[in-house]
Amino acid sequence: MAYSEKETNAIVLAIDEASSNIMRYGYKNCIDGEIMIEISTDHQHAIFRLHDHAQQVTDDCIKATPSSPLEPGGLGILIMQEVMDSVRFVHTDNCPGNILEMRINLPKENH
Amino acid sequence: MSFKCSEHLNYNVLHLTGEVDLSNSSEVRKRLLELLEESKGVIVDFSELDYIDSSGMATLVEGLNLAKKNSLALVIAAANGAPLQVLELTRLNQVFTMIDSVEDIEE
Repeated sequence: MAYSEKETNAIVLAIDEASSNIMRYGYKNCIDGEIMIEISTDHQHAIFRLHDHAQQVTDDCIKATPSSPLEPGGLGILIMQEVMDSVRFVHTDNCPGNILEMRINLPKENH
Repeated sequence: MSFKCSEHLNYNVLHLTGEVDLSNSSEVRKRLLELLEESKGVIVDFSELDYIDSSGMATLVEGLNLAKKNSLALVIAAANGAPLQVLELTRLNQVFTMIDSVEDIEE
């Protein structure tokens, strides 16, 4: 069982938003910042991890959403949170930078 | 991404083609704000738009806020596919006036 076209579009959009945030806020629009995208699954989820080498940030960065969509800022995070079942930073002492992990339930037949 | 402008009734029409994302949304922003300075309503035609991300949507939101401030209309026409999905995910489909085609605009 595969994701539908609509689900696939949404996943692509969420990863695009996460990548854009890394480029803008992590790498301050520097064009040679590296982003590594790791894709895996467990028994329940498709898992997308975006690795960067920017200054470490906390989950506070991905919690705030605008109270109104007409307020500036936060639309990218809103999209990520609407599409994915979980969005969080995974920090390890061994790894500089950030690992943003997004999980989405697998299509039902794959559970 | 490309865009072109036309006029329909009392509106300027901004036709977006291709993909609007972080790499080019500033160009769309510049043109949209220029159009809104002409004191006419603007229709943003999505009929040939394949993709738009939050930076593109933020541009349209900025345009909408400016339009409201100047008592002008900003309308989205022919949203479909992935761009319509972005409007739904952000609930901006409940904020913007949306029409099926440019020709459906009311005078």
